[in-house]
Amino acid sequence: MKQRRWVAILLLIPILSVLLAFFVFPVSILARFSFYIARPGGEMIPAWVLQNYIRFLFDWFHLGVLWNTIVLGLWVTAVCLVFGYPLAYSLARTQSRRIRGIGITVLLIPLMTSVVVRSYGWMILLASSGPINKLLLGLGIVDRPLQLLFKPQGVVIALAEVLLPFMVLSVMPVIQGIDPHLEEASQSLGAGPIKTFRRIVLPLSLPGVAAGSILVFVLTISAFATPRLVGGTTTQVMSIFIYDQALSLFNWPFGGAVSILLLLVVLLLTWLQGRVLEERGMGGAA
Amino acid sequence: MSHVILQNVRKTFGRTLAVDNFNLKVEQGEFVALLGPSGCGKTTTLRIVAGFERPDAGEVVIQGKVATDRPPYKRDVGIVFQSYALFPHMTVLENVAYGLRMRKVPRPEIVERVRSVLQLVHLEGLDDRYPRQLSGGQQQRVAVARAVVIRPSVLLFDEPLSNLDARLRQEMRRELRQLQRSLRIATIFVTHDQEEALSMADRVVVMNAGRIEQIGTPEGIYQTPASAFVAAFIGECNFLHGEITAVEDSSAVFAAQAGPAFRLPVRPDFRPGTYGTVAIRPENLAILSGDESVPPGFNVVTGTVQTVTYLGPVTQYHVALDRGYSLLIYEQGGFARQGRRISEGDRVRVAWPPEAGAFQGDTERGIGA
Repeated sequence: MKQRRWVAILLLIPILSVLLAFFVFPVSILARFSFYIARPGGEMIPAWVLQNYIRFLFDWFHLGVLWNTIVLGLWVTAVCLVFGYPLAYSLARTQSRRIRGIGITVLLIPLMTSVVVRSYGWMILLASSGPINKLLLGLGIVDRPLQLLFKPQGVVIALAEVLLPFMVLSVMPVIQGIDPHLEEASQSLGAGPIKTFRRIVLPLSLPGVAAGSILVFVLTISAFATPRLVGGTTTQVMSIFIYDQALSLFNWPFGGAVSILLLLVVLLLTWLQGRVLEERGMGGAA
Repeated sequence: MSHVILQNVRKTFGRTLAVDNFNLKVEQGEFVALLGPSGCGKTTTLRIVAGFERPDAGEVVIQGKVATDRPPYKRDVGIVFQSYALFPHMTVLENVAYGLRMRKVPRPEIVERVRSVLQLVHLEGLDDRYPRQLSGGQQQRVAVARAVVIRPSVLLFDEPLSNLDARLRQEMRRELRQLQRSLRIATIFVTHDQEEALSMADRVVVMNAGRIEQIGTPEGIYQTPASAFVAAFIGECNFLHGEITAVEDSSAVFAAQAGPAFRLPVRPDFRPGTYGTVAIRPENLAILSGDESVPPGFNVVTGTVQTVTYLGPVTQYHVALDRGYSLLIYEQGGFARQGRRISEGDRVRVAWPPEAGAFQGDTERGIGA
C-alpha cells in the first residue's frame, strides 16, 4: 500500500514541477503585485494595501466589465450546450466507429487553425457585406444587414464555434458510459423518448455537462484574441481590460488585482461544480 | 387465444440474418425459454417482442392486438436485462416506482404496490439504498420487482442469471419460477444455459442460426431431440453414423459405419439403406461388468474402459468399443452401485434399450428417402 502511494507521488512530480514553475510561481508574483501601490508611469511601490481591489469592486464601470464577461461566458456556454449535446449524444450512440471517427475529426479541425486566422475568418463572414448577411438578405429573412461584427453577438458565434469541441468531448464519453439498456428499460416501463431523456439520460450525463460547461465558460472569460478582433471596442471584457492595464497603462498592481479576481471567479465555479455533483451522489466513488 | 404471437418474424442486420421464419405462441401464464448458442437470434427475438427492434417481416401480436409497429413504451412489457439496467441515480424505491409513476398511478397506490412487490422478491428494508450499494443478487431482485410491479402483459428476461455465482443462480431459478407461477404472467426467458431452460420453462424453444430447431416440453426436447443439433446442444450425446440395414415388424436394425449393429424402434419412414445418425444419451447406456445379466431386449456391445471420472452423484465412463467408436456413459451413484468397481482397462459390456436410440435421416445423402 505504502509503496504504491510513493509510486503515485513519483509519477506526479514532473507535472507538479511544471505547474509550480510556470503557473503557481508567476501567479504568486502577480498576486503580490496586486497589493502594491501603483504610481502613474508604471512605477510600483511595495506595500500591503487593498486599494486596487477596492477600486475595481466599488466602481460601476469596472463591475460592468466583470458582468459583460460573465454574460458572454454564459451565452457561449449555452450555445455550445444547445449545439454540442445532441452532437455528443449521437456520436456516443452511433453503432459505426467510422462515423464517430469522422465526426470527431471534423469537430477538431477548428482547433488546428491559429486563433488569429480563425478570428479574421469570422470577421469576413460576419461583416455587413459578408456572406452571412448576403445570404440572409437574399433569402429575404432580413431587410437590412445585421450588425454582427464588433458586437457581442459576433463574439458569441465565433467563440462558440471554436469551443464546441470542448463541450462535445466532455459530454460524449459520459454518455458512452451510460448503459443503453437503461434507456430501453425506461421505455419498457412506459416512458417515451422525451421522458426517458429527462429522467434518465440527462441526469446521468450531468457530470459531463458540468465539466464541459465549466471548461467552455472558463475558456470564454479568459479568451483574448477573439473578443478583441471580432468584438472590436464595443465588447469590453476582463481579459482585454487586464491587457490594457498591464501593457498599455503599465499599471501592474491594478491589472494584477483584476487577474486575481478573475481567477477567483474561476476557482469558485469549479468548486461549485464539485459540490453540485457531490450532492447529487455522482461524485464517482462508489 | 394465445397471449403473445410471433408470426413469420424475420429480421436482418445488414447482410446477416438474425431471425428467420419465427413462429411462436405463448399462452397466458406460460413460461417459455428461448435456448441457443450465442448469436442464434434469441435475444433479437426478445427485443422484437419488447419493441426495441422492428422485424423486417412478420407480425407481433400481444393480447390479441397487433403490436408490430407499437413503440416499446406503449407495449406494456416488463423486461429484465442481463446487466439489470437499474437506474444508478435512483434508490431501490424510485427504481421500482418508476413504471408506476410513468403510468400516473396515484401516489398512495404506488407506495402500496411497491411495498408488496418488494416483499414478494424478499427485499424489505432496502428502499433507500442505491443500486451500487446492493449485491448482485439484490440488484437482480430489484430488476425483477421493477419489471413485475407494472403488471405487464408479457414478462421478458434476457439472460438474467448469467452474472450471478453458481449457488445464487440455482436459488434464483427456483424463486423466479415460483414468482412467475404465482403471478401467472406470460414469460419469455432467453438463455444459453440448457439447465436453466430445462429446469424453469414449461416449453423450450431451441434456436440455431436464426431458426427454430425444436419447440417442446423440457422432457420432449431432451428425450426426443428433433435434430442432431438439439441432441448435441442439450446435454451430452453419443452419435453413431450409419445405415438402416433391416426393417422388421417391431424393430429395425441399424449398422454404424465401421461400428456395431443394433436395434432401433421402427418408424414408418424407415427403409433399408437409409443413411442417418443415431443419438443415444449417456445416461441411457448401462455399463455391465463380469457376469451381470443383460435385461431382455437390450442391445449389447463389448468394449474396454478408457477413462473413469468420478463426479459424486454420477460417474462418467468412456468405453472404446471393439468395433470402432467410443461411447460416453453416465452411471448413477448411490447405494446400488457401492461395492462394484470398474477401472480403466476393464473389459465391459454396454447395454441399452432400443427406445434409447433416436434416429435422424441424413438428408444430404438422401438414399432411399
